[in-house]
Amino acid sequence: MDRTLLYLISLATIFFIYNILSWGLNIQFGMTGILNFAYIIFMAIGAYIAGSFALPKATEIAGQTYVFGFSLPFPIPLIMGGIVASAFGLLVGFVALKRLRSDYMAIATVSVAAITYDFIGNYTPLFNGWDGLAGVPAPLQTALGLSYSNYQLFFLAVCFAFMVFFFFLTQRINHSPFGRTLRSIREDIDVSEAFGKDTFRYRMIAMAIGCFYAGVGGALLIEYISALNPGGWTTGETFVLFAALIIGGSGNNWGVAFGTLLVPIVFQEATRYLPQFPNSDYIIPALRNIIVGSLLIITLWFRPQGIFPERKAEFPSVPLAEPENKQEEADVALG
Amino acid sequence: MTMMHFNPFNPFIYLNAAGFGLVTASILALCAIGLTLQFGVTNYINFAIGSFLTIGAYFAWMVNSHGLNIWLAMIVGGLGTAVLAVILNMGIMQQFVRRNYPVLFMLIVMFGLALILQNVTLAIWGSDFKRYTIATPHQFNLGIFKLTDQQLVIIGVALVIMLGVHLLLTYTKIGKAMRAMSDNPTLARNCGIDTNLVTNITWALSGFLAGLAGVVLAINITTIQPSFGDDFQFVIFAAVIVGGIGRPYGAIAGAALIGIVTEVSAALINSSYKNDVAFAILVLVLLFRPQGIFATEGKA
Amino acid sequence: MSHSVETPTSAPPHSAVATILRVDHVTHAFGGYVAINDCSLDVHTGKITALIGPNGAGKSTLINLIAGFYPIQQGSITFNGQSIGGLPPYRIAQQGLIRTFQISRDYGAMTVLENLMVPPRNQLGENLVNVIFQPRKVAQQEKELVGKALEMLNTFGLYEKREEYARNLSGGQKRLLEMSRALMSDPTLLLLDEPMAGVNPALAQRLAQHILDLRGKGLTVLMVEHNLGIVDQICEEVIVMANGTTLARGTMEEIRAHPEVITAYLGGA
Repeated sequence: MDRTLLYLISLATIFFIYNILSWGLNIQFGMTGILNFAYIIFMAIGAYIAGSFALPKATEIAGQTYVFGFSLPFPIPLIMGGIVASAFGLLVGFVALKRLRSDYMAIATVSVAAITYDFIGNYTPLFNGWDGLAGVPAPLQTALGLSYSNYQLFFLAVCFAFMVFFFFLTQRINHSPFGRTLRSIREDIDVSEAFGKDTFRYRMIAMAIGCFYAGVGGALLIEYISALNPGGWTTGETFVLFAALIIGGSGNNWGVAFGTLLVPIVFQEATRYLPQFPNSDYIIPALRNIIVGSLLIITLWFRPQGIFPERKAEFPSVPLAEPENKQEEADVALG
Repeated sequence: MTMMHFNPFNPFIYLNAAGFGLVTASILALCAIGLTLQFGVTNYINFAIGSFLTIGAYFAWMVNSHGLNIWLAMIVGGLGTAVLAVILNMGIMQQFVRRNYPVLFMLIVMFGLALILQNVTLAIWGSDFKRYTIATPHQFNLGIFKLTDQQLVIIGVALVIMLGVHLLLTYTKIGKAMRAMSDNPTLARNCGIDTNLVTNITWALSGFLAGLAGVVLAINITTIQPSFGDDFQFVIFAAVIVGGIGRPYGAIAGAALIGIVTEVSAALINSSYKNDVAFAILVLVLLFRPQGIFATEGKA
Repeated sequence: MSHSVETPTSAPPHSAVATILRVDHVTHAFGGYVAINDCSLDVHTGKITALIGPNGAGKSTLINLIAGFYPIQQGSITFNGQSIGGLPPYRIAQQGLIRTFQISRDYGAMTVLENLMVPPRNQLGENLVNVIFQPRKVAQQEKELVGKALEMLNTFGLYEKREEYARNLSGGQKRLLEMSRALMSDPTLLLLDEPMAGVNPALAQRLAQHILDLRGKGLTVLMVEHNLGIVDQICEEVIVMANGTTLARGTMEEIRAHPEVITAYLGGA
């Protein structure tokens, strides 16, 4: 296989994984109106859990310290990654969603992100600190005995399958009465509460589901690139996902996929090949963040609904029992 | 001081830590007062407050490295940040507010702005550590506390600012207008208050105080680098939430509590857990007293 | 504080009316300001009761207390014989006590029809497990609810607007949406917070007729209203509030003759 093809395969793999991440954030922010500025933390937790569950005992690899090390086969580490991220999401949600003010939610999640980042970075015994985990085994590689390029294709297919699964799950949620209640909470939480909806419970469920997506996405990511350190999940990364969501069209899963293609994939990849400034390797990432931030603010200004806005809900057509009431409309028009 | 019961063996360590706590509290109070005023008046929080601190510190470093005395440079840092805050408010925030964007969107705008400012700082000043040109500190034994002359000046600056803000809010028309807008924006507008002007002045004040805080923070920890304000950010949030949103006196009390508790806990446990202690306080307050522990009836 | 069984404002002993809602010696203060001061009132089953009074009398605060939006500080509130004081709003709503809001609060980015699909209680599809494992049952119930919602929209003259975003409706249409949406939750007691605020006289008449029709279907209504003409026309019982407590109770005719009410309204209390 030629290098261009392999490169495109790797881009597609990352794109598929990022779609899962974006849709999870879409359930939280796009559908429910939860402002989770710690979203990337849940991706990292999923990745670290999956990585440390898949790796052998820490003593067997020189230079790394981490917990677990169960050498578990695929897909157990991945599922565990999703579950633990989801559980951590509930914990954070319990603090962040208890109060209705969205700024409390934002402050709580930003603080969680900062604390978790510092903690995982500084506390080396957990996930090898700032160096992060490395050498995470590729799922089923030895069992399948494929060549390098065939294995790349195989992993692409695995990610595609996961993406399709999560796409249908998200669509199902979106078009269900459950999704409708989530949207109503986004629109006006007091009104939904006044209609007997346990809004805290709904928001907690949305938090748990979104974080599950983040965890599974993170797990796939670490299994694909085999390593992860805190540099890969800074607050800027959460922002990249928000940008993908808002530019593509939050609430619309197709739009979100388009935004994901645009921001984390095309834009991030395109800037990777810009010439580096000598002795200032921070310039390019800094510029990238400045541009992503500006793009997002510009989108919010000119087209807050995104490129592909949320669609109107569709319902089965049911005929009226009585003839249509036109009389009232004349009066209503006056109102 | 009632720190005695923390340790039966050597109370002086903790008393001394409480002294450092006063310094941290002073720095915190400086920016928390401005942040809480702005939060109250505009009704959305400034996620870029950490970058404001950083930028204030760099502004001061620029003039200080050209020979200006550090305390005068501090004023320059404050003024520069105030101008920046007003420009950002008029150019970005007010534009969104005018179009009646929901708070949720405003928070994302602020979050985006924070990311932009952090990276602009990084791109302009680089990732290496900068230091101020400043006289070697002298240590003073003040009975139970051991503090340097610089730390004493920091406490003094904070006290002067607190007094100034108190006078502003109590006796001036603009200060009363700020309080009115914080309590009830619609009513304030109907009463003929120029809300645009008040908002701009609040941002200027908030920026000025954040700039000052950035400089004194840099003096206290001796170095500046692009993320140093952001590392301090949620400690400021903790002080504001503990004090109650929109409550400057609450913010002072919150800053005192957070400052002293974090420094004493640093002496008691380990200094690398300072932020975790502030975080724990923030979480407890969000869970049990979201209106703030000093406020009877907050904006929650 | 004594908890008398018979509140001062309860029904005359000879009538056989049942009480659906009882507010008993409730007090509520914001900081130092006492908005509701030892307030008691009863709402009788199947009646349309109006809550009137000058601005600042505490009517909306009381609605918020009954619906659970403000925590209850003193006193008790019972609905259908069960204490609801201290319950969160959603638990109160689940028992059939549904409120509307003073300012129309539509789900702006949702269509009119979708707005009406939110309130129905006990929707199977609100549980994700059912969504995934019983899609047919969910779809069946969804279809029934769509039918019901369309009939409701037709009754309220909003059928043509069913695919429109709620935020694009006119002020009057939003009022109709607010009321029809609340009815989708099958309330037993409906609290209407100024349902006629800012609507033209023709539409006010329509809304009044809708409220009368509701009573015909066995619903109890408690409405805060400033339009005394409408109150006179449709409300069998009128409760007057002033300074955070109930001042008088009776028919509109009786209320008009009440000396304290005249002072409260005209004396600017």
